[in-house]
Amino acid sequence: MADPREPVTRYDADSIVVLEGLQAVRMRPAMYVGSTGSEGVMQLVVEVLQNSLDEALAGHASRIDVSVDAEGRWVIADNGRGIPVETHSSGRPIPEVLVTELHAGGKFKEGAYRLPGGLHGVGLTCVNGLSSSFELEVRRDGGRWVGRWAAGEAVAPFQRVGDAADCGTTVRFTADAVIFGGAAADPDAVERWLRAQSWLTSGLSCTFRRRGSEVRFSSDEGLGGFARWLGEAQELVHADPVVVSGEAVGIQVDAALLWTRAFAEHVECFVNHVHTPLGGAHTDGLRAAIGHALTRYARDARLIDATEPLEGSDTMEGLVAVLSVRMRDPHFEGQTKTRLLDPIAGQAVEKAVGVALAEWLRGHPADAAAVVGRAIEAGRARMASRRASERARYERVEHLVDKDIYRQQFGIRSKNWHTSADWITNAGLLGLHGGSSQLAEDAVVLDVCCGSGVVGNSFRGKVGKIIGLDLTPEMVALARTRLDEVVQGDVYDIPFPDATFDGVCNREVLHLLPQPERPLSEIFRVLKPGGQFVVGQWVPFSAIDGPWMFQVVKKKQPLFVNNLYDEDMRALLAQAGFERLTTQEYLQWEDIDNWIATWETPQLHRHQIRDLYHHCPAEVRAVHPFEISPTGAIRDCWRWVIYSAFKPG
Amino acid sequence: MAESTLPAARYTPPKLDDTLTREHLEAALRDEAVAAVEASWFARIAEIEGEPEAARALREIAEQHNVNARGTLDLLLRAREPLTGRVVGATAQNIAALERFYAEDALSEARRASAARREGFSDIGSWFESVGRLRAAHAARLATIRTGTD
Repeated sequence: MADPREPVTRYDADSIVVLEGLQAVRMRPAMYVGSTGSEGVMQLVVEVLQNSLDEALAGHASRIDVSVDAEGRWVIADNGRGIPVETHSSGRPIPEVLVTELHAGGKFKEGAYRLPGGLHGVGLTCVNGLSSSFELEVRRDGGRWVGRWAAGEAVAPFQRVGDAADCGTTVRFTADAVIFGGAAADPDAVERWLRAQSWLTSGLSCTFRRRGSEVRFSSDEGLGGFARWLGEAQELVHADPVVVSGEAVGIQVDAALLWTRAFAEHVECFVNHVHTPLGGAHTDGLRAAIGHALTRYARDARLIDATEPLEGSDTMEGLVAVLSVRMRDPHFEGQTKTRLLDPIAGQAVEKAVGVALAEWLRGHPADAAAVVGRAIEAGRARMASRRASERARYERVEHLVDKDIYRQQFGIRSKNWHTSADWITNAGLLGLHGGSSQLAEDAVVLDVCCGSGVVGNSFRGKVGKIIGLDLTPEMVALARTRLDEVVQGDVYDIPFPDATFDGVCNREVLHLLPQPERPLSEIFRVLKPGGQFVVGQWVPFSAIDGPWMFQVVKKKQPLFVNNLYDEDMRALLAQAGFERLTTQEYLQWEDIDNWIATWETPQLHRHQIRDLYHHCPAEVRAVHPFEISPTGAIRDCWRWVIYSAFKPG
Repeated sequence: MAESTLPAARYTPPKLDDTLTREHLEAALRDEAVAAVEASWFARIAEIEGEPEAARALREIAEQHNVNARGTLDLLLRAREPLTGRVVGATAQNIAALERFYAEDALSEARRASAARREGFSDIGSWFESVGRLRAAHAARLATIRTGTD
């Protein structure tokens, strides 16, 4: 090691580098916009949108028009007042100062904006600094002014270029590929943002053009309409949302609550119209208000007694809610405002929602009974899920698997099996299973733990006959719509004689089975000599993401017992006697919010899964790709390996 | 004033190694670390369950446990690093100690996994195995750094 007494570099005044404005933004972009991936580009779009929205909230704009072209060039226009074009005290036009100087803007002083969103003077500057091309157009006082920049450097000075009959501001920009490496904002997320704002802001209409189509959002239904739209795909517990509008401790609270039969909760929360995907104090207040109001009602109505605990997560299950608070000087965690910190907002929400919800429950006894009944049902499911995990564990001691647990879970999941996760019907993934076939045209294939039969069906046209085997009667019924014949039975004791099949296939099951070597030996037994076994399994990317992935999956699926790595799968197949192993890998993006919205995943676990993504160690992020959109939606990249191996001939 | 004719008493500070105090410090560190993790975990549960007051209290208590854990560790390090019993201090020594811990613990995790499976806890066995693999990866990562800085 170097001798610490011998400095290898000088550290003096010359070592100190002062980064000027946009240099700092380009040097550390993630510090300003959260990431250099698609989330970061999305933050640029939202920042410009938020400026237009502030004009609407101040009562000066009624339209926001947005478009994006195939090259990723965004155009965001409003019909607000237009940024003032006078000369700033620095001698430069105000718009030029606004887009090139950090911490310059009209939101620091009271008067111009009552309750602004946005990054407060960092946003537009960041967008300029992180764009390969940036154009600001202002229409105001009968004139039209335009300035252009590239990577924050002036290309054309901001100056008057003609006349304009209207007022407003238009920003055109393309995120810099040098910074973002070609990542793009998710247009669907932008559409959701515009849709949400049209509901949150009375009198605002928004248009969004992309890929030659245009959608327009304008709604006077308010938050009730928003909640109804969020819950439209779900079976509702009550028809009309509970609408709350009140003020407490100087904070305006508006909310709409609608309980559904879905497993997941869906709460969209906003502070001064800024979406806060990680919630914070205001969401805590909402949970507290709902938990206390429903528990009090359930106890008063003698629907539960003191021995049956109703947890906060039970009362939130299936809830679709929109919460909007408007307050002065909110404090957020991080520059991108994902989480509200002010406890006073929680107190205001708890009070306003608590009072209104208690009143609604008293005034709507039939709906109240349904909503409280839903929470009680969720509590009992939570207890059942815990028991499932415990029973799966203890039964293993006797080398038995409690088949009822598996039957119960997959029986319930069969109702929406194909929409309960993306991987189940992913065409690319299925194609690699059937595509691995080296079997003869008249071969007979067994799809073990076949579920709905999609894996077996991927062999269709390549083999002569496909037979399914599954433990769950509901899944057997589903599979019979795809496969030639389906038998109800157990993978630990496959109900077929030795050497019956030319091929066997299986996917994503071994991680749920204690002693996976036992079902593998059964598969080996029923294969004819020379028969092919094709099995697909997701595996961790490396040793680094293994324990993290274990927690994600275990929280989702209480029956998860084997965190199988690629090397484990290879070893298991070799130990079972298979040979001539080949593999193919497939990366598949899973919608995590949908994946965890299932019966077997209690509400608390869903939150803890999201926490695992939000607080994922940097080491894991470096090897395991996933995305969290500014709206909070999580997409995880799963590494699938499809193994093909043969029983010796 | 006349000079004293008595020889100056030489004070020898006690060594922490092999003392009851060191054992107590180790136990205290375990308690603080476990309590810190528990309190922050429970804080999150309280938050999810809509108990913000409880969440805040637990989170603030967790912060204190973290500070106490560091304080306890600081005192322990006067003697030796508690995971491996090695003398630490400079980064090279610190890395060497942790590297050894990860390498040894990777084997311990494998033993824990076998025991869990024997007792019928397949999922816990799989967890220990996963952690063991991570330990080995961390040992390898630190070894790369150590050999790069030697």
